[in-house]
Amino acid sequence: MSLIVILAILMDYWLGEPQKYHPLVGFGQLANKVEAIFRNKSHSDLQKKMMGCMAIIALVSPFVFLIYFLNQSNYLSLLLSPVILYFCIAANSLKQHSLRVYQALEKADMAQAKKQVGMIVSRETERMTEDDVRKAAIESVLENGADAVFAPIFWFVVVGPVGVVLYRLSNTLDAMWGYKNQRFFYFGWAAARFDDLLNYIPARLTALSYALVGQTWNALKCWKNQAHLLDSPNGGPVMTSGAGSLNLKLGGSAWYHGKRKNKIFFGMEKLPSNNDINNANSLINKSLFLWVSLLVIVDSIGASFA
Amino acid sequence: MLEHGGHLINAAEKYNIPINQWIDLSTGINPNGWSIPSIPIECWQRLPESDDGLITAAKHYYQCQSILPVAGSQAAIQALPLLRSKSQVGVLTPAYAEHSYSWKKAGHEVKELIDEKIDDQLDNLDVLILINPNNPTAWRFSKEQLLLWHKKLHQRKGWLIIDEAFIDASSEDSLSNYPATQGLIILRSIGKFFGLAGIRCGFVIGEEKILTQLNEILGPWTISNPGRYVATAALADRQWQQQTRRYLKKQSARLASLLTMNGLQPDGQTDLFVWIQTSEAERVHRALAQLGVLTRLFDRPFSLRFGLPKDEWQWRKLEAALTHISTKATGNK
Repeated sequence: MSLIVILAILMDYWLGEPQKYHPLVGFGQLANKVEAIFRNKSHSDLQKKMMGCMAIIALVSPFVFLIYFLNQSNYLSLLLSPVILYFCIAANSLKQHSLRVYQALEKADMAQAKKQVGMIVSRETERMTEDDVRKAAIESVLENGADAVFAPIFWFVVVGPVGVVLYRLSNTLDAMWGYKNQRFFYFGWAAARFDDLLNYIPARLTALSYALVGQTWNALKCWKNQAHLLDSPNGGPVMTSGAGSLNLKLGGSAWYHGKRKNKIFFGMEKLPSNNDINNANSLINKSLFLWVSLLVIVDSIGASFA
Repeated sequence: MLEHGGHLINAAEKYNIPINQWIDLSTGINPNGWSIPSIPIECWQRLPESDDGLITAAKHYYQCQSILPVAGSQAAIQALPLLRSKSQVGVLTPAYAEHSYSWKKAGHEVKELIDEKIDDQLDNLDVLILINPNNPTAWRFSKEQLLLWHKKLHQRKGWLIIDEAFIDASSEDSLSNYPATQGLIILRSIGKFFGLAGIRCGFVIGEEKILTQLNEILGPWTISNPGRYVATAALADRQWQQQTRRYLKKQSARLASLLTMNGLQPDGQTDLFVWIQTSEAERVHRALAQLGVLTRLFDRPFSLRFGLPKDEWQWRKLEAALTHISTKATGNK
C-alpha cells in the first residue's frame, strides 16, 4: 500500500499534472452534458435537489463500477492503482501555481502576481494589496493540500482505488456545481454536501498533520478558537491550523464578485512575507512525509504479522 | 445575565488599584460626552410627558418620521423578541451578544452566522439582526446590501433589525433616514456618541405599527424626566455634534496609531473603538489591568477592544502602559 502511494507521489513529482488528456477534463465535459439533462429551471426547489442527487449518481457510479471491476484482477490492480492515484492527486501543480505567485512578488511585478493568484482563488484580485496576494496564495496552498493531496490519499488508503476515484469525482462536481448562485443553489446542494461529508475526516487529519509538523501548540490553539468562524466546515480546521502552524495571520475581509465580505482574521500575529508561500508548500511536503512514514510503518507492522 | 465592559468597580477590587487611578477603555462610549446643563426642578418632580419635545428633536436628528424613545436600546433588544411567534433568527458572529441572548430567551431559534453565510441562510430566516458597524469587529455593511437583505426578508414578512449604536459619527452609513418600511427596524443609542450612557435613553425607528406594539409592552414613563430633558438638548445641539464627529475621527485615528506603534495592529476601527485580534489578548488585557488600564477582552476569537482615552493624562498613561508591556514582552524573548 505505502509503495503504491510513494510511486504515485513520485509520478506526480516527476511528471507533474498531465497536460494533455487529463481524464478529469473529459469528466468535466461529461458533467456539463449531464447537468443539461438533469437541471430544469421549472423544477421545484426539492425536485432540483433530487435531480442534483441523481446527476451525481449517474455520473459517478459508472466510473466507480469500472474501477471496481478492473481491480478484480490482482495483476491489473497492481499496475493500475498507482496510475489512478496519480491522476487523483495534484500536489505538484499546486506548488507550481503558488511558486509563480512567489516569483512575481519577488520581482515586485504586482500585475503578474495578481494574475497568477487569480488562477487559484475565487476572490477578486483587482483590489488586492501585496499582503492580500500573499495571503490568498498561502490560503490556497493550505486548502488545496487538504482537497488535492491528503483527502485523496486518505480515501485510497481506506477504500482503495474505488475510494479515491469516488472522492476525486465528487470533489470535481463540488467545484463545478457547489455554488450558492441562482443556477446551482438547489441543484448543486447534493454535490456540496456529499463533498463536505467525504472531506470531514480527511480535513481534520490534514489539520492535525499541519499542526504536528509546525508550531503545534499555536496550530491547535487557532483551530480550537477560530475554526468555527470560517466559511467552510472542513476548511475551518485546515486553514486555522495551517495558519497557526506557520505562525501567520491570514484571512480578513475580501471582495467577491463586486461585494465586500466581512471575514475574520485567523492564525497568529505575523503578516506573511513572500517566503511564507514557500513555507506553506514545505508544510505540505512535511505533512506528506509524515503520512508516507506512517503508512510505511503500518505496512511493515502488517507484513510482520502476515 | 451576560458580562459586559465598564465594570470598573469590580476591576478596582480585583487588581487592588483605587478607582480614580484607572483609565476605563472597556466600553465604546465617548469619554467626553455632551456636557449636562442644569436641570429644571420640575424635571425631577413631575412625570415625564410624551410631547415634551424629545420626539421632535429625535425625528430631526435621525431624519425619520416614526420613532420611539426607549430606556436604552437594551429595552428594545429585550422587547422585540416578544413581538413575534417562534421565529428563525440569524445573528452575526462574533458580535455583541445581547441580541442573540434575548431572542433565545424568548424561545426563538437563533443561528449564529458569519457574513459569508448570510446570503445562503437568508431563505431560512425570519429575522436577521446586524450591528452596523459591528461591535466589536467594526465590520460595516453597505446600505445597498442591507436593503437587499431587507427586501428578501420582507417578502416573507420577515424583519431586518439593524443596531446602529456606534454609527453616529459616520451617519452617512445609517438607514435611520430611510422611509419607514414594514420589517425594517433600526436601533439607535444616546449612550455612545453623546457619551450619555448613564441616562439610559435609546430609540427604535420603524413603521408605526411595530412601535405601537413595542410601546404597549414597555409601558409608560420608560425614560426618566431628567433623562428626556438631557437627551432632547443633546440631540438639538448641532454645533457640538459636528465638532464631536471631527474630534472622534481624530481620536480614534490617534488610538489606532498608538496601538500599532506598540505592536498591536488594529483589525477593525470605528470612531469610538479599536478592535485587535491577537492570541495574546488575555495576557495583554491582564498586563494592562495591572497598570490600571481597563480594556474589554473577548475569547472567541481572542481579541481586545480599546475605547478612547479621555484626556492627555489618560493618553500618556495608556502610552506608558503599552510601552511597558511591549518592552516586557520583547525582554522575555
